[in-house]
Amino acid sequence: MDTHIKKVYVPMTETGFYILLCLQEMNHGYGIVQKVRELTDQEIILTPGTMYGSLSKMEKDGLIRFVREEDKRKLYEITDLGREVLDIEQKRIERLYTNMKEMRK
Amino acid sequence: MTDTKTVFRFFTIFAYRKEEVFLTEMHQKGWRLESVTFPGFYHFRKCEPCKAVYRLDYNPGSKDDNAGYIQLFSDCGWDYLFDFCGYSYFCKEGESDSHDDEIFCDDESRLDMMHRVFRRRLTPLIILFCLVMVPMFLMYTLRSDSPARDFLSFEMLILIAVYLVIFTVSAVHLCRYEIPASGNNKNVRIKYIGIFTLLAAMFISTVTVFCIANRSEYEVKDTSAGFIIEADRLNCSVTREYDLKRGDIVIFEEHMDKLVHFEIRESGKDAVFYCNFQLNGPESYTIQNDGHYRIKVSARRAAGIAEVTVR
Repeated sequence: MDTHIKKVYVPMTETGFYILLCLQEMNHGYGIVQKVRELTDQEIILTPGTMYGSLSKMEKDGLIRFVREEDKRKLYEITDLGREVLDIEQKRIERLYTNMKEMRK
Repeated sequence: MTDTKTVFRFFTIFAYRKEEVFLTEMHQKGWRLESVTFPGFYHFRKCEPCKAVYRLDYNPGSKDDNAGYIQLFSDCGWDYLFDFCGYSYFCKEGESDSHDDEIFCDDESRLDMMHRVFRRRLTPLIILFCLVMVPMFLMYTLRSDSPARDFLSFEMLILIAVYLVIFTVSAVHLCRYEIPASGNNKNVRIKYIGIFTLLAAMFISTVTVFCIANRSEYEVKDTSAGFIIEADRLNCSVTREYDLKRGDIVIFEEHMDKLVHFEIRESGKDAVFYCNFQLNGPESYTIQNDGHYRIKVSARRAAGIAEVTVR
């Protein structure tokens, strides 16, 4: 994986992480907003400026790909590179979680 | 009382936050934003005073997917108003909880937007600064006879040419669109004739000024013992050939306002003498071998008298 991708996406922002997580199934921007709202019990509400910017950036960097358009909404899905980034992120979060469990009484 | 109102406000490109606050306050006072015109006229229409939030996004790159861009915002409850100077204006009416009235939810994406503003708006200014302001400064500050001056003057010529080409191409594009759209309106045609005449005049005058500045105006007088150059503007080199003997002395003297170069070269060989000087008295060289010599005097945009004497 090239250093630019590592530098920008490891560790990921919460927004970036949820976008990649959701795009394991094909979805559009607003679909991701709804999905994340549901997953986090209304805790995280992604905003359109952030969503549009992140999707454009991730598409440009090859983490996700544009599939087709439906009712003016662009549908995206994750790429192999995106999965690789998500794997790294998963390991990082697992480590954080284990360390926290060990250290916190 | 009229139901429209225009307010003049000027916000710098990075002050979009202040602009958002201003628009939000106007709406609360019962004025809904209708449009913005250059350089900062905000046109409002009267409405019921109510809570509304205004937000600005800078995303000129989204234009090839404008429908999708607006759709995403409208799905999230934002009304798209219009674009002005690269910024897209969004409004959300009614009460809403605090994290729902932002269009950016993390610092990173907000910073990304600032970067987009910076790249699109400041990069042209920085290019202009580096290519125009800095060279201008150097040109006025450096020694007037510095060789950098020639380079800079040439660079400026190229820049002006590039600008004129950009203006011309833009005018041609606009003209092709506007003349048929106006139904061959006479005033529109006259406007474009005026624009193209002006562009041509600018092009011709720039080239003329450049040519005149680089053209030489001088007179060479051959004397029994050498030659004298009287120049209003010397932009080239003057060469004379002499058969000289060992022991002959060549004396250079000059009264010019710029650096002058003198050179003695034996035919087909390297220069035996070379000097650059300005108003510091005569300089001389004694010939070492008999032979056929070329004596060369050269300068750039120099005025005054230069004299070569052989004894």
